[in-house]
Amino acid sequence: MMKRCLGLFLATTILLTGCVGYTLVKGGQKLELGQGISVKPPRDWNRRTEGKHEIWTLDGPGLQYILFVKGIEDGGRIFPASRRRASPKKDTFPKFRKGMSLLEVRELFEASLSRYNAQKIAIAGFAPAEFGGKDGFRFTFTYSTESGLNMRGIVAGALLGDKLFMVIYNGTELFFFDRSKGDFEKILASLTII
Amino acid sequence: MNKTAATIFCLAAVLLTAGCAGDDLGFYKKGLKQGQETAGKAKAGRDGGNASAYRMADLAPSHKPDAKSDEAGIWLQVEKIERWVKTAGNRMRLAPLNAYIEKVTCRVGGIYCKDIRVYTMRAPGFNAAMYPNGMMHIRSGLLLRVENEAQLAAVIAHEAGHYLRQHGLQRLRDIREKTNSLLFFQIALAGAGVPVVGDIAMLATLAGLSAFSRNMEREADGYGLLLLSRAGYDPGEAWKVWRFLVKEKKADKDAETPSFFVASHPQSKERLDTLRDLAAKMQTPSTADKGRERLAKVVLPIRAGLIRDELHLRNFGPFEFLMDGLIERGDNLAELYFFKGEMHRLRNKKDDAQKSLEFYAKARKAEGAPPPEIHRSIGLVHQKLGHGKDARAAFRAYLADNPDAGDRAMIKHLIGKLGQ
Repeated sequence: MMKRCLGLFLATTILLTGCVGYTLVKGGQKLELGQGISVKPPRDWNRRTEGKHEIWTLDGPGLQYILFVKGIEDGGRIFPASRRRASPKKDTFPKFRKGMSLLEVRELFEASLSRYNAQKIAIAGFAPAEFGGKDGFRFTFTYSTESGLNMRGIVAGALLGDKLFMVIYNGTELFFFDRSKGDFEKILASLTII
Repeated sequence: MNKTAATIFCLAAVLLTAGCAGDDLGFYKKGLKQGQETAGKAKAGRDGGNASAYRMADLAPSHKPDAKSDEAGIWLQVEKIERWVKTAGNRMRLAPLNAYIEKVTCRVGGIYCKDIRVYTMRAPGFNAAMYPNGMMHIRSGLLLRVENEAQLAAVIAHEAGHYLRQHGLQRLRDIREKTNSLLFFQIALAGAGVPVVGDIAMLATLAGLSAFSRNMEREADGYGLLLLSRAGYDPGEAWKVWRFLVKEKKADKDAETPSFFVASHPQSKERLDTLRDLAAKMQTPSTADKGRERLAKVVLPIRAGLIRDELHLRNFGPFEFLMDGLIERGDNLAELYFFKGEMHRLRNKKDDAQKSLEFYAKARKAEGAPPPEIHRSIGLVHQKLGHGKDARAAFRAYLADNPDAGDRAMIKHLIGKLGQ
């Protein structure tokens, strides 16, 4: 009985906090992320995985994060479900659809971000760019959080087959974006997709 | 924002946005009637006048709480939030808009003009909130939902009613017991190593608390109508704001996140009827002002951005209702037809591609100017339909119209991929 209670308590705790836990990524070593993706970060990062998503951060995801979107398919979401605040009766969250063009992927990103109460979203510099040795895209974005904090970010990605791969770097405009931008660019440059 | 400030912020938000009406409408009708008679006897003007029937005198203009009172403590916390809000990235910083809102606020606020400070926050949807120290927030989405200045003034006047009756303070005192127990809960959970749960528990408690405020909302409705009428606005416009919101809510088939403002306010139908009946009984001069053009002059230059905010939510039922309402009003139809086209394109159900092309074509012929990205959208639909030649032509037209477009390189790449 005691064990069952403890189990229930732990399960509830995990559910309520959504904390699956971070593990350490060692800098300077090549790391397989799954779905054929590998990267070689120049320094240590904290990593948390959720299915086809994983978040890396140094100071906490509210300050800066790198989100790896590892090949979502038709019906998949750009941001992992647990980042969602409300629990809707019906899931109307914007979804990736097979056959989407790159322009629609950009719109999907914008709509997905706005579901987290991002305001004043602006996207700039949308251009083709190599992504893990494949033809991909890149753009930058800015927005303000609901509590008025200005954020800045970079999205790089590619549509490969019917799957969407993305790496999203996001940080506070003040300090944190700039602090880890160089590190992010090195991680992105090291990324390979089989 | 630290945790204490965040807690107070949430408390204050709930306190003041929470439902404004009760079951007993008697006191509210009586107060309103007396208030109007008093105002009528004094002078029918726009100065806010003496509102003894509604006991506005309880709160003197330029009111500041006694430094030793619990109210002073609350003000201190809310002032911290206000300092944050002043520089918040999501605050609307357009000088003409802010000057306009300030003017409307002063007109309904009368002698309390300087005590109420309105901050317009960029966000879709309808919402307004009043804080105990006179800070008011409105969402930019409200500007799409009011038809004229009188309706905007009705919302501001309602919120001002909360301030004048010190509802925020009353509610904070009422819920002290609950927050104390909440604090205990948080400490217990933090001790168990679950600090985040406190926030969830707080939300749940606050949700329970909002149910207590309906009579306050009713009172604010009464005050709002009174202030509106005294300022020379047509009080018959107030109920129309609610009519719009009720209909918009009905158009939301998924009803994923019902508007916080609506959810916590009195039963919409009851409120709508009451506001309409009361307005009909008020001594409204034939010169009562609606101010449709004044509102349009400020909103039209920024309307496309506000509509995009709504469209990002991809809640197509209410969006279509909102757009049809705007089309009925008829300003810059080209812009509105374009967004109807966008709605069909993004919804992407049966016949939507064709319907979007029809609306884009309508937008190009209609009065006004469609947003500069219209040809890009047309190109996207043609690309989806496999019309390579039409898609190329549309993307080229987009580049010609927007030589400095941020996605120029991508569009050129797409044209290349479409072939010759």
